[in-house]
Amino acid sequence: MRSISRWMRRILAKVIEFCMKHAESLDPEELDAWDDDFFKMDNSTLFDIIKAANYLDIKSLLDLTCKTVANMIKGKSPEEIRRIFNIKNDFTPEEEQEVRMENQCALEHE
Amino acid sequence: MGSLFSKNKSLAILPEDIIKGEILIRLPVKSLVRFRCVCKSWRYLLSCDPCFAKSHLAHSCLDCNNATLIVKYRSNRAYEYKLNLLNSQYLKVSGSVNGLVCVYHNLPNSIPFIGIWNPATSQYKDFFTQFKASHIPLDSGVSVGFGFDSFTDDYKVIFITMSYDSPSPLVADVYSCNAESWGNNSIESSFLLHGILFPWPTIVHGRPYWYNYGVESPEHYFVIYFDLHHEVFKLLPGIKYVMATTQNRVMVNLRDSLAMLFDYTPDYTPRSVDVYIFNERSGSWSKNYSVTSIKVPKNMPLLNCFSNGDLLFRRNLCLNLVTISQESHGINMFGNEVYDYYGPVSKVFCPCSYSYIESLVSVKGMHPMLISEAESDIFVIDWSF
Repeated sequence: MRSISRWMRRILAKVIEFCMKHAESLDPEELDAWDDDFFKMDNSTLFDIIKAANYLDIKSLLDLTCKTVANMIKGKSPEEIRRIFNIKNDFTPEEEQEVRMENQCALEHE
Repeated sequence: MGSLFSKNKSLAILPEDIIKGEILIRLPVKSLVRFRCVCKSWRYLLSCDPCFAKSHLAHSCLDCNNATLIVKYRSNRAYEYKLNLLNSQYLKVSGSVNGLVCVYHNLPNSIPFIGIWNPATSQYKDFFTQFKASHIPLDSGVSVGFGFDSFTDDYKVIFITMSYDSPSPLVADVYSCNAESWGNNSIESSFLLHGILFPWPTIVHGRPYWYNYGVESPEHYFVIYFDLHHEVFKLLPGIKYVMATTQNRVMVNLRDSLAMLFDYTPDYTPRSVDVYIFNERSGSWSKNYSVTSIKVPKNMPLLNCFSNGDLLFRRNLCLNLVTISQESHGINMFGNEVYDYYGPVSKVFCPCSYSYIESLVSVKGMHPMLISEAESDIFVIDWSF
């Protein structure tokens, strides 16, 4: 039997903490405030919790964590997005210029 | 489960299906358009993938507090998007479905054309109607409907002409966005229209509805809709409501149901609005509620109703809009007193508003719209505050 490593234990502990709080409290205002505080964590922990919630099929936790990430990234630039999600820019310089031109009209609205 | 987690914090990554299926789907269209530059697969997902556009729209629709409207009016009020086209005072809005807006342009002495616009992605396409301007009697003899045929996944535009000699049938030509062309045959309604068709349709569930007015007897009063899939006109019963002279009727989409608002402005008693909803299952209308003691002056006609029940009134020809909140009856005035309008505004005036929800949806032939400094009357405005 494999032992659970410390970081995995930490993630599971967070998930359990969330589930227990949401099971015992029914006051939506109190939960909102608690959630706000709970989600003050670094991205890697947040992402690990998302993966755990997805694997364990805990819809409410998945919903809240993804909403938190969505709110965090919605104003960011494409370069910041690549850094956060570790995505490689696979455009050639010409292609990248093309995409920017295509979406210039929409980008102007910022 | 261990393999799912990154031991090295600097490589914390989320699987693609979670990023796309759970996170990107929650973002506003403005952000998604900007993120097309991130990488090739995101560019495809966020511009060409119809499945993602649909899922994103479905997710947006879950937010029931949407208070965004497309309006045709002139004002200096802050807006989300505006349609920049030359001669836009001749543009009328025909409706909005799934984030696409249909407009109709009828500049005198030129062939009318129809435009399909996605404000959030700034994409646009237009095409001519098949009629020369001379064949169209007058503006009130024409109406343009817009809708979505979910069976064939096709957005369609319905161009209706009606003869002034009442009673007469309605004649429609249908444009299919998938086929990028008008149908070969005109479609005539099986019934005769008494009175005049209200020129601007109400869109519910992707289907356009019209009502007729100016009828002499209540038996001839109906609600007409166009079945987009079978391409045929159909009738719904009208409301057997006695129209007193102090009454104005407005048909709207209220929380995805067809609704009729009766605006009663008698001389000596307070103004009130009765709200009737059409029940599709029973095929009948019933009175849902009334808003009473409305302290909005009579010279401001009722225009629309938000999903939360707030009523929208129009002030002046140039549409300074006024809302009244259902709960508190507090009156909020919007718009700028300083405006100038020109020309025969009453002829091209289109006092309509349509609810709108942002989406990535596009139809064939759409291209990015260039930014221009042209004045516009067509705005997408967010009324939530």
